[in-house]
Amino acid sequence: MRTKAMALILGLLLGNAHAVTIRVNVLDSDGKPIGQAAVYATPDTPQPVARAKPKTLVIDQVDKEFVNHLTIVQTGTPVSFPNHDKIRHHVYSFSEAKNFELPLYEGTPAKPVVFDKAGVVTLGCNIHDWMSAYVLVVDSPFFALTDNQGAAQLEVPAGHGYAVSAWHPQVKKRPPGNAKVTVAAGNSTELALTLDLKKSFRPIRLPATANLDAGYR
Amino acid sequence: MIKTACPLSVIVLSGCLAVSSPASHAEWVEWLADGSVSGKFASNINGSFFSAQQLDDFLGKGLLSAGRAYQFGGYTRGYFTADWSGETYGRFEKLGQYTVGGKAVLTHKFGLGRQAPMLHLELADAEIFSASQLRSGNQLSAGLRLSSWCNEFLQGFVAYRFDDRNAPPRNLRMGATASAFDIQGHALEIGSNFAVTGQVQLTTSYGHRWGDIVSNNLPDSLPPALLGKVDSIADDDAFPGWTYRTQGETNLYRLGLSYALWDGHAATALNYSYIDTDALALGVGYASHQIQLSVHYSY
Repeated sequence: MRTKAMALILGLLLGNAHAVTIRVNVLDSDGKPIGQAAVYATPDTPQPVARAKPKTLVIDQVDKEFVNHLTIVQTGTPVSFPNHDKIRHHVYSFSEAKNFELPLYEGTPAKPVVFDKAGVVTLGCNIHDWMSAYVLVVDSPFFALTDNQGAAQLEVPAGHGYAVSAWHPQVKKRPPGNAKVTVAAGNSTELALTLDLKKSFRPIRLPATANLDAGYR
Repeated sequence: MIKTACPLSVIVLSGCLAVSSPASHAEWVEWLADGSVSGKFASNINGSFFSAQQLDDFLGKGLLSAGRAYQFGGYTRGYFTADWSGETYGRFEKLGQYTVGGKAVLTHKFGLGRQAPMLHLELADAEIFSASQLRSGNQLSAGLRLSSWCNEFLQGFVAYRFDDRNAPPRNLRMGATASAFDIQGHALEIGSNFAVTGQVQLTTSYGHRWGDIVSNNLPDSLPPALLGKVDSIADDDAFPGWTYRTQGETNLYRLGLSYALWDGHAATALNYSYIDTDALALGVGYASHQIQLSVHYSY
């Protein structure tokens, strides 16, 4: 066990010199591909303590919307919420994994928000109720979003076991779809994960004159 | 009965003065520009008590609104707009009109998050320029609305509105002294918006209004005993016959479906309304069906 952990740490620290690819296809219960789903691989062995300081990620706001509906980050990652609209936003989250509030602001807040606990964080804007986005915080550096064909690739150090999971904001069941794989050097692996999704939903945005009040504007 | 009229300029100017005061802590946050066009069918456009005299028509309507939004602290906003609307009718051209007015809206959200209740206060005033001289005048409305999302799909709301329309006395009959279109009323509404998907919203509401109502009927339709219970009678210049003003109550049932377009900047909406009006003093009433298809845009 200790040897495996050391090998994993070395693999991580030296870069993925012996990296192999896990190809993941995420499908819904009808077998159709799910785009923009989060896929991540958690090593069986504990995470290395020593790691590079995570870079600050950006979740932008343009035209009264969050630019990315789903962002996946590793635990401890700082995220900045620049506002590129010419109006002010009021970003918040009530989620257990990260409860925070950025009261009305323009431009870029002075300090990023550090996502220090694994879990799902639901973002909103208190001025524009239709604005919504998600941050999936995972205890792993191996993650990706699926493309429109529902496919994603994870580059992981070889010779270890991983729990590969998928998540999407519309997922019905928890825990999300997952599978265990062990990857050997030189052998890439392909697997399919299935998610049971509820109907497509994002808070509705309608013009003010439609007289169907859905928020401030 | 006290009739009030509030010049449209008062609303917009007082709003702008209030928010430009150094002590107001108001901050301009965005420009507002809204517009809509709609087509509508009304089955009893003259509001006649008698089915044989009920007239239907199609009308087209346009609305333009522009102004500014101000922020008063973290949870309160003010909207001040200048508004123009126009209506044109298929058969009864003299109902054609345009209005020019202003509107002040104050919204307050009680807390953080989408499900926090929101209070919406509104004061609007407009001058009505109608091809029917009888119908030209001024319209003031004031109201409040409390809404809250119960969950991510369902929003409930309750609203109250006072409306006060004034018109110069013209074409009066039977000793009437005030215009048939001097109309005041109070209305309560309860309803819900249901997000069927992220683009489609279903709206249902029930409204109850009490106050003045108008009804157009042929001159010999009402028995003389009832004419004494009418508050005003005038020769109508848009429909055949006379228009009567009296006290009444209206129940309005509305069902609407909206479809968001262009990332929510626009929407198309289909609304059906059933309107059931009782002239309490006269013991008669009328019903009307209205269907409206509209397209809306917000900057």
